[in-house]
Amino acid sequence: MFKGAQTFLFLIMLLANSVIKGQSVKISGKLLDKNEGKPISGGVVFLNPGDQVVTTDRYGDYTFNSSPGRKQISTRVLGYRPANIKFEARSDTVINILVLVSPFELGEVKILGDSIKNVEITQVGSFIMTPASLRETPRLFSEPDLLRSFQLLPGVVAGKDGSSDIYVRGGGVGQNIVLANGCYFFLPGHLLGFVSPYDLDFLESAELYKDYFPAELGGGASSIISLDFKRPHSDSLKAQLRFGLLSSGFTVDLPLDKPKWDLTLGLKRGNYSLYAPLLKKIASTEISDNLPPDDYTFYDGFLRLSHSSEKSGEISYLLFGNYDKGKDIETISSQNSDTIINYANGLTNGWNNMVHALQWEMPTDRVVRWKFNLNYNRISMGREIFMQTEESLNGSDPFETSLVSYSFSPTISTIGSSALANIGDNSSSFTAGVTNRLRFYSPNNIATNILNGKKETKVFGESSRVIEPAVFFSYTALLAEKFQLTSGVRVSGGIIKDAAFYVIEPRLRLAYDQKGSLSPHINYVRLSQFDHSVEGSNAGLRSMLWLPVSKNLGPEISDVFSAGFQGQLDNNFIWTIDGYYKKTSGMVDFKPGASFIFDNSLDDMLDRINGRAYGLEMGLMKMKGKLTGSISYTYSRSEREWYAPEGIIWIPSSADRPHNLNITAKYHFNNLTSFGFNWIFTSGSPATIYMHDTSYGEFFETKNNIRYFDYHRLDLSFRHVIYKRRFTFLLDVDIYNAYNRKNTFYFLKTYDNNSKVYYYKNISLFPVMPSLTLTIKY
Amino acid sequence: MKGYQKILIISKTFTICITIWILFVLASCEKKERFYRPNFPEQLCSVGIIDVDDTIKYGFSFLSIKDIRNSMRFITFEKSVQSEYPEVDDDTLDEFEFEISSENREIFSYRSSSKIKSPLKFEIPNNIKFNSGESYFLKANVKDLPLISSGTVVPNPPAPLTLISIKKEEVQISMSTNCTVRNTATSVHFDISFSNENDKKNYYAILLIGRGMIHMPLPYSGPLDFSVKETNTPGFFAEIQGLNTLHWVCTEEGLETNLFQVLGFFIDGSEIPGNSCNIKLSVQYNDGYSPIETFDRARIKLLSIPEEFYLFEKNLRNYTMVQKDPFSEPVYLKGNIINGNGVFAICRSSNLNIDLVTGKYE
Repeated sequence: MFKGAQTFLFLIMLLANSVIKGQSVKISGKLLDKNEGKPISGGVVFLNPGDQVVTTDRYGDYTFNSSPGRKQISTRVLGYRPANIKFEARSDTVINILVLVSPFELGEVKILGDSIKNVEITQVGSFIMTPASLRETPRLFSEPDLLRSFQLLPGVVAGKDGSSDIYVRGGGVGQNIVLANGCYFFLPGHLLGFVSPYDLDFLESAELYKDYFPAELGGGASSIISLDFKRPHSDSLKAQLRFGLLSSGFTVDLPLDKPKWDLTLGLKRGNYSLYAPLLKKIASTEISDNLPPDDYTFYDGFLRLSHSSEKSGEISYLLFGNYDKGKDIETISSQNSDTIINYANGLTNGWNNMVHALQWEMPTDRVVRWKFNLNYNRISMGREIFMQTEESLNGSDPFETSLVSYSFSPTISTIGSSALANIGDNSSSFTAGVTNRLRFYSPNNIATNILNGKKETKVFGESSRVIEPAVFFSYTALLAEKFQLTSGVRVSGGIIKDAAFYVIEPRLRLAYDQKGSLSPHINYVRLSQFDHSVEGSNAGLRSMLWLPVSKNLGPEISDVFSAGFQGQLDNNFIWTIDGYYKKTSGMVDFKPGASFIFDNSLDDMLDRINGRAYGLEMGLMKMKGKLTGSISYTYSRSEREWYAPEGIIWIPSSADRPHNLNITAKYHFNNLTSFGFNWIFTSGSPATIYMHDTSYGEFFETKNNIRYFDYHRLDLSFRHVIYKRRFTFLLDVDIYNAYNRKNTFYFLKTYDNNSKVYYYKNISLFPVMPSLTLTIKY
Repeated sequence: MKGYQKILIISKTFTICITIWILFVLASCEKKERFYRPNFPEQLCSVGIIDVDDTIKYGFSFLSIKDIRNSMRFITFEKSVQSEYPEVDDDTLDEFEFEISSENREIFSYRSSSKIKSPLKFEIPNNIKFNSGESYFLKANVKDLPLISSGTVVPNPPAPLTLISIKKEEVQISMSTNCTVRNTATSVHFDISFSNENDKKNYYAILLIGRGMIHMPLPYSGPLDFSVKETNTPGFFAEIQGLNTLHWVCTEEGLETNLFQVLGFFIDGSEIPGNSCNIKLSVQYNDGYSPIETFDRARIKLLSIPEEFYLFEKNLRNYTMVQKDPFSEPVYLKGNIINGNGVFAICRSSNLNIDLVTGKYE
């Protein structure tokens, strides 16, 4: 493998040398608030001549590549006076732009410049959704759902029909960890996984790390999603109210004069319970059986309080809370000969989460830049199923009663802290730091079986405490002309009462001409995760079982090697092509037939397995102009071990969906009206069905022995903006699955009375679904 | 262009777009609503459960049902099927042959050059002996399918069962059907125990054979349903292929006896605390459901079984049970048959015979 990789590297370098272009200079710097010294994200910076436009990132950074000569930089930032700077660029130049808050209240503001309207790719290959792209990103079901937007990116594969799950580079769903204000966590989806809790309206920007991971990041064996919650963009109150199909909510930006703090907050509520009864009436039985319970509701909310000044730097506090609950009980009576059988089946599902995260970034103008984090996270999941049967003879007292219930309510509490120091400039920088997480797991997995008054209770797992310290160093430098080295090492630990695990995680990226039109790079990272998310393979109901490391279950460790190219063309197009190979050890999966109700211990239910994945991902994005959009294609293979009687064999994993093609486009007729579409094609998801029938039962040879039908759909979207005094009205009309493709949610074994044979009925949840969303901004 | 002309053009364009879209939706509606399993080659399957120490054939000769497998020395063969491929599925075994051998000699074999209907059942003759600790092998072949093979080691006989107590009582029930009305039934509780060698990997199954009267003058001798009221060892009930019992069932034609699979109680010896397994079994009869009205003799059978049989039965029980659990995983039903499916197991047994009329037992 590595011999082949060396040859590949050599070819990349050879190709890179052959495409070095004429002399260019890099013009970069920060956009800063002159009074407070805080960086301004989402500001638009123009460079002329050349008509180049960029948007500053979350740190206020901007970069242009241009030819030497006389240049002019100008800015447009909402709430700030425009700035104009003229200068002579002879070599790479750093210009920090200081802008003043506009002293008068702004009326209606329309930015007529050609701002970036698409996802951006960073120099380390991660994807950033900026404020501009968040506004323009395709909104499936009209829902501003971050994970659904990520599903359209190269290297990311969507979960089952309608699910907001993501598989990144062949990894598991639970290997994607979220980072917000220094706090790491993972949340399940709302409505049994159909809606993610990450609302785009709550976010300033979001970054998906999947290629290179800076050494300060750790905890996810597949990807890390870094969220930056909303910040105010002006000195006056801003508010937004949104009425949508799946959820409605509001956000408020409230800058406070005394003391000088900024407050942003938002809340949204799921609307499903309002129309679920009607939906179930018009849907077929197979579909309504798989829809969430009628009274299912959810809430997401956040509050961010931040203070920024030249003296103290930036201090911010984030509260992110989520609530999700639904309950469904179904009763059925049937008669078998002289016996009346009453069944009652119930499902209660829900979870709640809270994140308290405090972050202090010391002033950025010092030699050593410090950042401190202190956070607390508590996630509690609750799921209970029960099946009650009463058998009686012609209405007499029941002669047999049984109750089988399984409740699953793990709680994970985490106290996290970190300290990070950074020195250096744009040409080289050094970062070092320490982090620690103290995690408390309460598994609360209880299965109860009552037969004729005899009760049997089983408890799975035991409470545990895990200390996860880590120390990291990273170094970034321009080695030679345009050769950028980004490197680091992280040592992560997991300490429990009877064992300790340490993982050394080297990180390395070598890139050439990172802002050029053809920038080759190679990448190697090792990632570790000290908890296990175990996915079931049943009909769409993921078990969401989270287990900490234990003496028998060590950490999951991924080694990812990737190489490829990325580049920018005319500051309008971004393209990327990457090949990757990933090897993961220490994963945990359910054994065939594993059941909390009928097994006695976790050891009876779980296997330790290894996984491997490889693929090729490519994307082209047009960021500016009347027509914006992207095309991405990912060839992704993912395999995992399977314990067959003849030994371990490799079988496709749930993430093995080889072909993924996403085409998105948005045409802006003018500044008020736009029309867009997404077309998505994904190979069918692997699934397990019994393949052979016998007189004593059915059997199959291996798990994931079939694939569901290929998944594809077209979404159409139309947006019109109306400005009315201080209000902006955004009207979004979307059509989800415009040509009514019956994408598979699962296959239901069905008997055909006519042909007297069994077949599998394709059960699809989401037909063509038009939706309307009204957003009012003040 | 005047305003009304613009509106006209926009409305025409809109109408055309909507029409195209509706046609597109209608034309594109997914027609593949059905998925048929890939046509996998059939597999030869075998379930062979042989109790070395039991040579009794439990026949219900008074019934019109023929060809029932009711002994602990049966082996069956069949081809797996996929009913959606009737043109491929063939329920006959062509040029079938099989043999059971020890490490150095063939001890039973069968060959047929003609087509035989599947499933094919054989009763292993009583004169064939199997010894504890020795390995025995099964090979079977049918035309166009891979040869299947299996091997098993005969376990040691289980320790003798000890009867601690018997209790017989009248119980109140409420059963009223078109065929019969019952207010009382009889229960017999057997408190038994057996010892286990904890340093060895032992697996057990418990069965209950009863003799009584269906109704005068028809005698019944065969397996009976039982329940485990109390035990110091966890276990589970699973169907034992090859054994049947009878139940009374009220149908439109009246009260009938129907065949049901026998359930055995399976125990993993490593879960027996200490070295003694205590179990209280209970049998209910004279209740309109059990085949017998009188219960004269009971034989409690303790089988010492190979691990592969225990695991197969566990899978079989899980396969049945997890249908009720939406979070469960599909069950991998696999025994010890190589290139096919099923299980081949040779067991040893000890019996506790109890005369319920006199109270004597041995």
